[in-house]
Amino acid sequence: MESESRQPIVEFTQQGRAQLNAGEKLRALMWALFAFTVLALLAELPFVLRGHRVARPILWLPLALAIGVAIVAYLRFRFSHPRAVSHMDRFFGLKEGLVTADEHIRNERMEEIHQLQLRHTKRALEPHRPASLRPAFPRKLFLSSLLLLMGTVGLLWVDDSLAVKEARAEAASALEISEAVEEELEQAFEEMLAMEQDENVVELLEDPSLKRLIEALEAGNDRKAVMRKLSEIDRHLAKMQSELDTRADENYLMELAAQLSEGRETAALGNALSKRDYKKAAEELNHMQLSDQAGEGERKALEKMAAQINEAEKSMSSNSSQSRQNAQQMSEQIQKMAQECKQNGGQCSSESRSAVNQSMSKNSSSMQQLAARKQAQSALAQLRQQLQQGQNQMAQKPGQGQQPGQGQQPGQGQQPGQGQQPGDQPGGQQAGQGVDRSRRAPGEESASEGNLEHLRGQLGEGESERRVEDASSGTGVASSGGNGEMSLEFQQQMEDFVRREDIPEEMKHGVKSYFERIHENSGEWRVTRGE
Amino acid sequence: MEQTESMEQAVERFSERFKLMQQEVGRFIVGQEQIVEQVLMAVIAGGHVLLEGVPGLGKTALVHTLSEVMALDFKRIQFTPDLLPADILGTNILVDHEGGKRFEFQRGPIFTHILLADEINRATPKTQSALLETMQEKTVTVGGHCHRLERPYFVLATQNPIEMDGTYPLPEAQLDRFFFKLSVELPNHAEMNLILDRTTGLNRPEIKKVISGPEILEMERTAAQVPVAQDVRDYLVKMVLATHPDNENAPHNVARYVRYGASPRAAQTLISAARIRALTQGRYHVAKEDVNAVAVPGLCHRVLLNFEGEAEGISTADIVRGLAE
Repeated sequence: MESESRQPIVEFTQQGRAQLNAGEKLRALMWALFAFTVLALLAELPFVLRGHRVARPILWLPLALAIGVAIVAYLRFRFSHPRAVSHMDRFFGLKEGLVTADEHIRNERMEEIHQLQLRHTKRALEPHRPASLRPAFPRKLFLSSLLLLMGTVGLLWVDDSLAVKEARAEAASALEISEAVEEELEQAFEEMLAMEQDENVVELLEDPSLKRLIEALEAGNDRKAVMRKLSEIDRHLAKMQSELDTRADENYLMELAAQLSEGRETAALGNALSKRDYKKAAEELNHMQLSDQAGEGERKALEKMAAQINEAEKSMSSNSSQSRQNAQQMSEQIQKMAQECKQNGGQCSSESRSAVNQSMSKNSSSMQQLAARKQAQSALAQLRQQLQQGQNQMAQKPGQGQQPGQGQQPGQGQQPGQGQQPGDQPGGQQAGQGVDRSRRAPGEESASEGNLEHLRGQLGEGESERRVEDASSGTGVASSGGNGEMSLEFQQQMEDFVRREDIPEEMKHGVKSYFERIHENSGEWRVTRGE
Repeated sequence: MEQTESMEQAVERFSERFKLMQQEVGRFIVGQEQIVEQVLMAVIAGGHVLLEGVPGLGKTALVHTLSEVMALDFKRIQFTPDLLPADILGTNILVDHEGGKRFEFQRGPIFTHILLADEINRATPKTQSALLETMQEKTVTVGGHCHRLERPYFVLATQNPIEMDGTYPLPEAQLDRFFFKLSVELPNHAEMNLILDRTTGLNRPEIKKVISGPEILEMERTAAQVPVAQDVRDYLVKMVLATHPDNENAPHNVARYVRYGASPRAAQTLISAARIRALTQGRYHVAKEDVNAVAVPGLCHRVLLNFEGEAEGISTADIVRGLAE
């Protein structure tokens, strides 16, 4: 009797609980689906709004979260036994009959009144079926989830926008070019060092900071960053070049060469200097040193050289080069020795000879240094040329033409001496046609202001009378007086502009090229201070 | 099996007797079915009832009828301001005994089964307090001697809620001893007609005694066995505790308007009444609806309003109804 009443109630509550929990599982699943679709949409939207294709692996996170939601929701809302019994009691309107009966069963209360209550509850349960506890399918939630799911899937097929595709292609192109530029620049640097046989030149070129800069140059898909680094290297190279400037020395030696070429004893030295063969000139000067057995003729030759140096001094413009100081010092020593010899009846002391020789050695060494500096400058110019090529490549965006102000490729420029009319093509897409300055040898640049052409003319008759005249010719901006100050001001403004961090490298490059090209003949627009 | 059947028979007898009493009372008392049912529930539970209502609504008549239905001793005390405790309880008097004199306890009207304390609030608090011991312990102590009252024993008191002159409000301790406080409402038109028919003609309905004292006690025992699930018990306790303003489950109106909530005796009252109601509804277990049904008569006189509640005219019955919902 007891089990007759108990068993049906126990079975009913178990089946009912299973039914309720099945409903909770379904509900948790629906909520998980809803959560997944909402989270997936939230994850997809940033991609779509920025024009990117949705990265599908990103959906794993919403999926994991949705599964977590389902598990938590089920664990939180699943029916415990007492809760399920209470729910069934309410659902079937048993007025706590099932709750009471379940409590009797669990606590094994089997007194008369309890048995009576169990029988009563069993009778009350007979018209009901646990299957009727099946919860309503969450149709609205399902439909909402379904719509959101369709949206989620739809967004997966949205392709990259045109702008994104272009940006991606641009980044790939920048990376490719920057890799090539980096490789070429490193190779050019290594080759430059390897090709130099002269230790003095190698010493001048082996700048650790330059090496560090070149090594620090890394390929990347950020075109501006690479161009910034290239510009930094370019500035460093320009600085090195300016430190190796030989123009003052060369100008002096060129003028001196003209004087020395006239004398028979110093013609070889003069010719070597006029050909800018400073190594040979140094050797010639070494040969002219006075040995212990040196005779009158050798001494006279030196005196004549001193006289020629002095003569050259008279017609020489202001020049404070090291070569000039050395030459003057040597001339003074020779004159001093000649005076001493004259006083001693043609006999020169070994001290005065030694002083002259030392002075000559110093000159010789200075010329060798000059040769080395010239060579190093040339090598740096080549490196800059390589660098500029790289800059040009980086500045060239895929699918676009030349940038404003970008110069021609080296080798396509005008020859020095063919001055460009300023204002011929101001601004615009093609800011003048210039030459690549890096290809021009340092000696070809004039120290004078304005657009000067170095003209060599012959005055008088006979070789001994030949003189070189500088004349102002060519076209373009006048190079004197107030214009010089204005040019300096422009130059400073331009230099300030290209130093600014907020200006894109491409624009800096364009402005720099523009100014260099419109003033390429003046020789003054070479950016020397940090560029 | 036999035991179960006997219990089942006891429950059936309970229902039959309850219905019989209702029918018999209903022969004279028109309408007021709920009041009658609740008074009977209190009687079966051994509790006392305070009937409140304006004069002429049949409160005294209801108690009279009830005493006629039950084969029990009935006494009526008209409470007046000059009534003394000894007038109710009884007193020791000097009597002749075997040639000598001795004090003998003269029982007061309180020694009965059914006591009608008519207009209880007209007596002074001192006199009202004389009922405290009898209502709770069902004993009378006079002159150092304790006299036990016969069971069943219950006090049915009446009071007029609108007449304030010459009345003394019942102290809280005494109010708490009433199982139910029932408000007798004005009958409707049809009921009024019926009252006139039954009370003003020559043929007054004859009331039969349908239940004895032992039978009432048996009904009380039967009801006490009805099981109450823990869930229902928790519900009831939560409701009683929620009548206290400082309880965490107390609703806003309780926190705002109530000074003191119901006592544990109130919970005992509710569970006893709910058990009886469950049996009258044909169930063998107590349901939450049983608790809700007896909550208002069982709790409203035990919930004391604060000054704000009194000033706002808040009804304790409404507060209790809010808790039951």
